[in-house]
Amino acid sequence: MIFTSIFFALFFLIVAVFYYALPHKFRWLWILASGIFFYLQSKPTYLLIVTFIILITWYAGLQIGNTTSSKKGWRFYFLAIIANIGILVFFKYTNFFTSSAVDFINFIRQKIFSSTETITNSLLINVIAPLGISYITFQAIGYLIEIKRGNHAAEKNLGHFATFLLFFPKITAGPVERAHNFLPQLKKVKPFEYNNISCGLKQILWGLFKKLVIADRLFIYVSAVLPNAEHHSGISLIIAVVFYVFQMYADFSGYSDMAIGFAKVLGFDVMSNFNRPLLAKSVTEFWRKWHISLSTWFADYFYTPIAIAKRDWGMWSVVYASFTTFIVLGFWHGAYWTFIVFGGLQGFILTIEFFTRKARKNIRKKIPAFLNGLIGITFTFSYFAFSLIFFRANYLTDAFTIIKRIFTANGPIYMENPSIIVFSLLGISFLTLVEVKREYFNNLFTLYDNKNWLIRNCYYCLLLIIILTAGVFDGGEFIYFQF
Amino acid sequence: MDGNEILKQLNEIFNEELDTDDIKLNNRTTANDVDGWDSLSHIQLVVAIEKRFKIRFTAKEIQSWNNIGELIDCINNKLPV
Amino acid sequence: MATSFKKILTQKGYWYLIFKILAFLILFFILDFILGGFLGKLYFKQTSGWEYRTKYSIEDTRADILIFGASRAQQQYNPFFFEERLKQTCYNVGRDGEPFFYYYAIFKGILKRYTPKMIILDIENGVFRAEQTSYDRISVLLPFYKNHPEMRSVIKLKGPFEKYKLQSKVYPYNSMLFKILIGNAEFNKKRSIDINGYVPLSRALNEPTRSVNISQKYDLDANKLNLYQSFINECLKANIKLYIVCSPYYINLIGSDTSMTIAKNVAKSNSIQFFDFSKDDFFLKNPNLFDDTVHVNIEGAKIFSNKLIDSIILNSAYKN
Repeated sequence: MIFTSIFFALFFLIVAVFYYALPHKFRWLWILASGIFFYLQSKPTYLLIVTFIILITWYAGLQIGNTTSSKKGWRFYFLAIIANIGILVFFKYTNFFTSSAVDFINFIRQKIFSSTETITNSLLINVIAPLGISYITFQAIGYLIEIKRGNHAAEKNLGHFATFLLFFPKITAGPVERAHNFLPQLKKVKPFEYNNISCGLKQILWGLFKKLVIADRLFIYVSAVLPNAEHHSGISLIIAVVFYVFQMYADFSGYSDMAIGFAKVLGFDVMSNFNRPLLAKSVTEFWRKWHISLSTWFADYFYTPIAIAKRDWGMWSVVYASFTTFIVLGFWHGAYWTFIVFGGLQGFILTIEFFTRKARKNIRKKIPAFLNGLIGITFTFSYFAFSLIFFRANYLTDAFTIIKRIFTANGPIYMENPSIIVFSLLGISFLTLVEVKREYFNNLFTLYDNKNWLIRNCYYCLLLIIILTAGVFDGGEFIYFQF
Repeated sequence: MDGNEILKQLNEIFNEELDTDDIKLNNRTTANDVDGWDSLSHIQLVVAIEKRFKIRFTAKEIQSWNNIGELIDCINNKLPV
Repeated sequence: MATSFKKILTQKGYWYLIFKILAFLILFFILDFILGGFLGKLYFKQTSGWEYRTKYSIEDTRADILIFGASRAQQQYNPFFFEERLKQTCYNVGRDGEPFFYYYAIFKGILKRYTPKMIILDIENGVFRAEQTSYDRISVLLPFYKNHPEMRSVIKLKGPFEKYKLQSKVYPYNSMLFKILIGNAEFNKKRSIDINGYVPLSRALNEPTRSVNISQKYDLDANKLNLYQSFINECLKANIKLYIVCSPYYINLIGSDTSMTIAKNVAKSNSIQFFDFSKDDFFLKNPNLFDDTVHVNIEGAKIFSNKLIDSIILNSAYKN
């Protein structure tokens, strides 16, 4: 069930109406039931796997929290973490490891035995990952670590814990919520609040706008050009890569906005996920503004422990921790070498930025602030766009083809349907305008939060009308789905 | 060493490591208040603090401070009386 | 009453929410009505372009001979030759990328106004294949939902919620804004040229044919098959001379396509003449007549149209 379907809209309407009609003590049960219903829409048998994750994580959490013997606590902690990671690795990476092994065998056979026969990949089993499996396991692992560190108590109520992991707005694509942020909200009696619903609906509207009007429109051009790079000119490829950055951002942040909005309508504040990342002035800053719920997860549970453990290495601890974190983060996106290169590129630039930060600060002092900002934003955008070429390509060779052709292939701009380019450029301009306005001129000419009811609502109506006239309704795919 | 002395020394370390001279710490200062104090520089600050006071924090301690006041308390507990 | 209403507004409870949502919806429908009306005016005022040709096909043409199909109709049948040799007016209502649903809806729209004398229906390999995009493509017909009840049964196939989405007056013009604006511009008449609906192609291939095996099975779309049968039935009922044609390919086709076999069998059982050029030797030997492997260019269209007309003349002479 994707958020942009009418079926989901009806589902959500029913969930919300009954949620507020029910007394507090039954509400969690209703949310859990709706989460289970939501999950059953994908692949029913996979609910068993999620149930297993819930049970083992919940039980281990209790044992770690209760036991006085640290040895026993360790054992449960270890088992539960291994179970979570094991499930994640099995579903996401079986294909990768087996096909890499086959490639390796073929390579050996060719080089050493000069055999022309090859084993084909079609022999392999194709494992399809359960819906949102990485989001669910990450939230479970974060929960276990927090209890192990003694920062938070284990959840006693299995139902509440299950509701946390199966909260439907965040099942498909996050945010990667923290248990200690969510569970207290679930327990608290929440009266009906008009502002929650109004804020939630507005965020859903803006998310829909980004997804349908911007991301899905850009997708059309990007998917026509990037996978067929060998047929396109350098200039078309540059346009497609720039479009892809905006597509990724609009798509993912739009989906997050909707998730956060749906949660808000039900009275829950879940973690925010994006903070205008395309206006970041360095890649380091970018990663504090992009997919925040995941990047902070990695910072808290992965990067920091590594950096602390290796802190005697001095500066190199940061380098080591950055690289490992980003390579794992890249790998998390999927089991392809392209994602690993994508992660490696982030680790590389973060290290460079870390070592040059004093020098850059000195240079900045000599240049006017706005120029500084402009240079920083342009560099960050370009570098991220470059790394996304690897993110988008299916194979490393495809990525290299794109990069090579950007510099060598002359030719006209690909414009099969000029209308798509016009819609795309208008969408990008609108998004940029809104982001720049919110970042730098937040109190000037407000439409979204205007005090006048009519002006404010005319703006929302306008967004809705643009969605209806310029949104892509016929089959747009959400890219982050399979992650 | 009393709290104020530690605070003074921390102020020096922060300005030195983050390469500025406009940081003015107090007990309630958090990472959000200090420009440049992020997860990357945090480790670097910890190393500098450990060197200056000749102490060793545990991993748990490093991740537990919510503000400068808590950091000072932690340092104080580690210093020889 | 007045006090309780005031209470609703200040307490911000359920009734307040409902009140606010209603106020929003009223405002939305007012703006939607104004903008939708404006877009509608512009849409039906177009003088050139894709949407214009669709509108012309449904609401204006009175040609004796009509050519139906997708790009392989629109870009391959030149009405000029049909008019000259058969001494009847001719219009090509084919539209690139459109599925059988489109042909049928246009047919219904035309039948409502008048009965053409002859219809040529171009059928391509895979025409009855079940695929979601065919349903998505129905969107170009949405502007006609309101005033063309005869087309509604086809438009509704787009999805179960289409009726509700069409409560919005701007929705039928989704993604069409710039096409509509350009369709009203004078310069576009020169840019988007057509000869009674026929859009000529100009490149010429220069490569050997490749072989493609087309006998693999695929899922068939029951809706498309039903509409094909209805199309034939209604032509027979209205006494319209129907010819079904598979135009040339510059591909060495191996085996037979499932859709094509069915199309031929249904035509045969209804005594409809079926002309198959898909494996025509003459075209397979002349790459210079093709723009790409599945569309003839302007030269090819001339030869193909005339060859087809020869067959039609021969066929009717034989029948008489």
